[in-house]
Amino acid sequence: MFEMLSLGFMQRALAAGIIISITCAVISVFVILKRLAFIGQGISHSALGGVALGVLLGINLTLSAAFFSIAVAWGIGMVSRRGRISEDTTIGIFMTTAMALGVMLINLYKGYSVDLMTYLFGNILAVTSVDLWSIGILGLGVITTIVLFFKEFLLISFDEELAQVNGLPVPFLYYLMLTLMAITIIISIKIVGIVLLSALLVIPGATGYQLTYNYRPMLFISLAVGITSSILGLVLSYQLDLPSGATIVLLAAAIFTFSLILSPKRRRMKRDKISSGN
Amino acid sequence: MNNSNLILELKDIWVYFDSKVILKDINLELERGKFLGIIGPNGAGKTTLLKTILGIINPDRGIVKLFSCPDLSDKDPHHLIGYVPQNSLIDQNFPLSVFDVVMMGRYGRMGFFHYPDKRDRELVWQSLERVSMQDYASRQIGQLSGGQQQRIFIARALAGEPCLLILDEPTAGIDTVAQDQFYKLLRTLKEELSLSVIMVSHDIVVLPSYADELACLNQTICLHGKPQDVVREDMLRDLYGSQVDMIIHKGKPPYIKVVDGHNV
Repeated sequence: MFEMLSLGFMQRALAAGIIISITCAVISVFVILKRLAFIGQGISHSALGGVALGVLLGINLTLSAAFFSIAVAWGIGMVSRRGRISEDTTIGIFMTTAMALGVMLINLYKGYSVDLMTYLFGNILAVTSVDLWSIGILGLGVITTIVLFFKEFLLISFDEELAQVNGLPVPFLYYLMLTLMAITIIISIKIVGIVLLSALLVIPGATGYQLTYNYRPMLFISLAVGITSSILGLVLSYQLDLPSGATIVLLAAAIFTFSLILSPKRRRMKRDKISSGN
Repeated sequence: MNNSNLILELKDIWVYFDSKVILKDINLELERGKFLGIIGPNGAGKTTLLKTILGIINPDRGIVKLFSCPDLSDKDPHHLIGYVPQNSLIDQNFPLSVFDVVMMGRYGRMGFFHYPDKRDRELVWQSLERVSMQDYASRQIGQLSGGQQQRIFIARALAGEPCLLILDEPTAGIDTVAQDQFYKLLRTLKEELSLSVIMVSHDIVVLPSYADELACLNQTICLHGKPQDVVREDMLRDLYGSQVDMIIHKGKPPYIKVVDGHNV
């Protein structure tokens, strides 16, 4: 255990894991309340295109993936907010197109040297100190922005119409939310991987949602689930030589399953069913 | 024309949706302190008209003028209006307490980067007391009945200190007893707070006896006047196109029953 903590890569992985899990857990509350789970999956899968583009152009992969994912997030937002094409159709198209582009670009790159598996499934060995710095700065930026706009985000999640009537810039707030989600996704890729990433955007918030009737404890539970599963996941992944992303996600899913059993909402639903059944 | 007594003026409003006319040539004025009921069949453009007044929809032609309240230093038009939405549209599982929901009515006035202070909390309590729901403040919004939720949404609108209250089909899905209480509450609030009220409704039974004015909408304003002048059999037949039975009580607001054509 302590020997593990003396290893440089493990220190970086744990530090990154804690920052990522806090950022994901905070945004996860809005992913659940504003129903952005599928958009989250769309943006995270699309990041493959951004990573491939970075490889081909020989630029910083985090940076290229970030720009690419933010562009995809805005694209999905723009097409679906127009209302001509439904949101799930839009995401389905954007996500697969971006991934196909990624596969094509990687295939084009003859001197293929990137470990694709790291990006797809995450790798605790892969977090460099430069990565840790960018994860720290971007994560802090995301959390600060959410704290600043918390009440507006809450309002557009609950009642977008009232926000409009109150004169709030609803489209700006919506795109800001998508941008923050895209940045969160980018900083999480190296630990959790593109394929499983959306789980961290959904499961912590969903667990909190199951267990409480108010967003404050929901946020608190979301943080607890996120941090616990990522620290425990990283430790287990090191000790038992398991892929880090999958370990973290399975732990989070286990906690969520437990919360389903404990959920007061489930009991209430059951009761309502009994009382309304005649 | 003496305009100083107006709170709202709509001039020559046209709204299209995919080149289909939804509203045409709407001209409407509302004086301060009046209760205007807007009635009309489904698809008449009632909600579109409300959204145009609320500034959610920009009309393709025409102007919406809102006049600020005389005792209000605040000139932001968004702060003049208290909006009560159709309560069927809210997410019943949303993790907010009743107090949180009412506090949202203050967000527009607080502005960015400000969090509720003592005065905001006081106004929320006051608003809850006005609708007699202060005992429910810590409940989750979805645990309340439809009629109770409606009161909470009124409290939310009041928390923003509006001078014009706009309600969209507030009595839909509420039983008749709650409906009656609802109208009485609305009348009390209107008098105590000297509010102007616009309410859109299907209800041509109870609404006419509480509203000061009625306007019938079917793409355009067909009729606008005192309820007893507006609610007439020929007008309703024109508007609804179905058989309408009407019994007019002497000196009392008319009682109307809309009957499906096949049943007659």
